[in-house]
Amino acid sequence: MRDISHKKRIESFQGEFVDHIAHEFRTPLTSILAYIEMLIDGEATDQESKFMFYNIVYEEAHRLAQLIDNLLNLSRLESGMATINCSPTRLKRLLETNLEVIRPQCEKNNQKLVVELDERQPTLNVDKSLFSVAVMNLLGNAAKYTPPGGTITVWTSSNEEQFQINVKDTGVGIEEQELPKIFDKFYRCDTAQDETVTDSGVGLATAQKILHAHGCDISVSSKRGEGSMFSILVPRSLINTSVGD
Amino acid sequence: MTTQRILIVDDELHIRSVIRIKLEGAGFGVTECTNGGRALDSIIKTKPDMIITDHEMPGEFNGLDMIRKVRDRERGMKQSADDCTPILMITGSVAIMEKIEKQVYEFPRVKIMSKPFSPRNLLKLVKEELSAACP
Repeated sequence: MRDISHKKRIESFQGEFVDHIAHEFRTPLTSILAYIEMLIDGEATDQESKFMFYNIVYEEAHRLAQLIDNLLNLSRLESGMATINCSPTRLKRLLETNLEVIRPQCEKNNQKLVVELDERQPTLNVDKSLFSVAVMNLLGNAAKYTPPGGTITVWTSSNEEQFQINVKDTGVGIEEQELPKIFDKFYRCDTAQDETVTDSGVGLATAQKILHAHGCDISVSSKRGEGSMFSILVPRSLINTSVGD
Repeated sequence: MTTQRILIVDDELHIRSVIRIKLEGAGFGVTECTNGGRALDSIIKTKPDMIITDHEMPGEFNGLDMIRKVRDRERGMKQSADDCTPILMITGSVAIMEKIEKQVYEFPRVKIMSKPFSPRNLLKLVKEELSAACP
């Protein structure tokens, strides 16, 4: 009896999960197909509109690709199938690579990107590819929720126990009661109702899973209307004294 | 002739925009809201001729909650099912589509369009619904 009920619960959960995933995929796909149809139908009457439509198609295709990557990473990590290939990784290089990806988006959004990294950044024993996804998700989140004219600051700090990678923004912030839920899969804050933001609610969940798989943690402090600060907490045991890649 | 007004409720900027461009191009007036709660306020103030809504939105009310509230209000105003505001629900969720189809009594004059949708088909459906409302 108990087995059947348990099986039904799992099937019901899987059904809801698949339904949710389908919804998340259909949303960017809807934009891509709809704007292409509008282009075919000649609804973009001037160069500016055409550029805007092509740009939306490009952004939404990119969003779809990122969603697939995040879901695959999340699924592998949750099922224990993910292989974490740790190797000595120079943090400065990893951060700079990610910052170069996010910089054009900040420029486009008229956001100030302040990077305070000195030369003495450690080499970490992490899976470079997965760790990079976690960092990128935090940077992407900051860029997404910071209004034009706002500032995103990236810096590192350390104490005796751990090393921290910090991403602070002057964005919309998060209500205190929502903070415990923000790492839940598919959770979207009420603050996410900003009219210009598109979010599938898997970026932070993926970042947290990746960091936990490394033995790292993630912390957040935020105030509605003032901004948020996310910190990746790296235990000192992950710092490698040898030369990285 | 008075411009017919349509309220679009969706938290996705790009989807709201594509619907607005298509409808405005066809001569409709458009108001946009990003969630169900704001939509309810807007409905009372602007009395739209038709509502196009997503289901999954952050905030207190999702699309179905909003439709229930709209219909409750219309019933309270003694409007018959035939007179209620036509609503088009756009959703990517099969479960929601099935729910609406099964509960026709609770959701009169609610049409469903699945994501991804064609703006051409959306415009056609809007015209059909509004001509049925104002023959």
